[in-house]
Amino acid sequence: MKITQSAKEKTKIKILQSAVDLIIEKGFDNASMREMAKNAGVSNPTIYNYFPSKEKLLYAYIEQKHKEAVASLQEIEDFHTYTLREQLQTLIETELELYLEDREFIVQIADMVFHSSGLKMGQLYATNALFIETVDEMLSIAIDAEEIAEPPFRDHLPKLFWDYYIMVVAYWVKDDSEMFENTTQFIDHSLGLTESILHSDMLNKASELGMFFFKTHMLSSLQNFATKKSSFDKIKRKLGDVLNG
Amino acid sequence: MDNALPTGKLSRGKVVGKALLKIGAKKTKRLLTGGNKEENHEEIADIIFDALGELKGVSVKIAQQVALGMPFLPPAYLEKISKSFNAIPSINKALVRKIVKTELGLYPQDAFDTFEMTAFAAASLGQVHLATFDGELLAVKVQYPGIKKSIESDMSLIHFGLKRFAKGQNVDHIIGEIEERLYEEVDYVLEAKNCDFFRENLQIENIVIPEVYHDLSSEKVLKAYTQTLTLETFCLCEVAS
Repeated sequence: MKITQSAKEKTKIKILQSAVDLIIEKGFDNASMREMAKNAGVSNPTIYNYFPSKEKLLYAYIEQKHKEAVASLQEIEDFHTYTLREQLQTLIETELELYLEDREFIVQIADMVFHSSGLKMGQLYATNALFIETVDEMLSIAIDAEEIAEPPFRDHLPKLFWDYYIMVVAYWVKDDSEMFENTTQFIDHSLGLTESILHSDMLNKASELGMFFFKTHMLSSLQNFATKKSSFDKIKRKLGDVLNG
Repeated sequence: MDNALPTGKLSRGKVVGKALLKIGAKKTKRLLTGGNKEENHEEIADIIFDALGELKGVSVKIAQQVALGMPFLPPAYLEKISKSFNAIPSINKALVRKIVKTELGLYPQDAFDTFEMTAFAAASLGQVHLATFDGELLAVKVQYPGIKKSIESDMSLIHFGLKRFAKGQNVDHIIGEIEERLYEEVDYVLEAKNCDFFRENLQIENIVIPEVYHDLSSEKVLKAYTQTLTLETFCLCEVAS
């Protein structure tokens, strides 16, 4: 029997959800793949076909949430009327909204990433392709529409934004304010700052200043290194001393 | 434009401090140059209004109470303050979407048939959006996030300030009174109840009390049937006719 792509996707989501539920209930270490498979109604070999390890399951979960968030943004009819800041803010708020249902699970992951090093930050980075692409597109659209000028290090900005996003999640995990109001305000304030930096051309000015210093001071000292003579003034001792004892 | 609401006592204190500095500079300038007093009032009112706009919410409410309670203030101040009844910087679309989802469990496009993301009116402690639901035109009042928390820090700032001016007189009861009213104002459930009360008991021609949709309302989101005029516009219409 041939399994269609959408049926595969459905099974994947079903396994993910039962895994998340089990991890919330028993903790990451005590939740077994066998029990996850049983709860999801699939066989043991099947679950390994989808996820070779529990860690892979976590990464898949994060990727899945990116997908759902982007799908949710696509449902907003007048999204193209949002400013860049509003678009970025909506992306982050939507992701957090999706996490809210599985907050205890996210708290566990955050703990593993930030404290017990049970998960590698680097591997988490491998899950962010869709997120980065989305941010990249938002930036391109804003530049094309002349909402902002082309910023320096433009290619790195989406990745930087992902780092910022990790920081927001870390803040949210520790946030104990009513309805996580503090996180909402933290996002609002910090994106306000980002917005004004992008609008003020400050990045360009800072990079021009940096280039000036680099060219006039750093570069010449680098040349000093390169052109330093590889000769010596004192006479070298002979090597034979060691051999001769 | 940065729409963030400064909630920390420190950040709010900074806004107030900046405004006071500007006013001080204006006063000094007038002393030195002997400028027109009226003009100066207007400039100072401008500064105060800008600062209040920056603080949003609670401070604007306090300004309104001052305006109501002290009609002897120079007209330039009263005019600026009365503007604040309707014109406060808006919260952005991302925040509106987030607040509706948090309060009602659904995003605006799912909770309503249509929803205007740009507010058509600003209240001091929230802003109002047009929406339709089941063919009815609704006014949806959405509250700024963190307003309730900023009441506390603002009131202690005010307390600090008033004590300096009161010169030993007890101002605690005034502070208490304002604080109580403020907490009432941020509770939209209470506002809904009041709305119902007036709708049932007030029957005056040409005054329509909006009908509240309770199952679509929460502590921070309130929905009501719309098509109203601001009180001031209404009064003007009455005089004209």
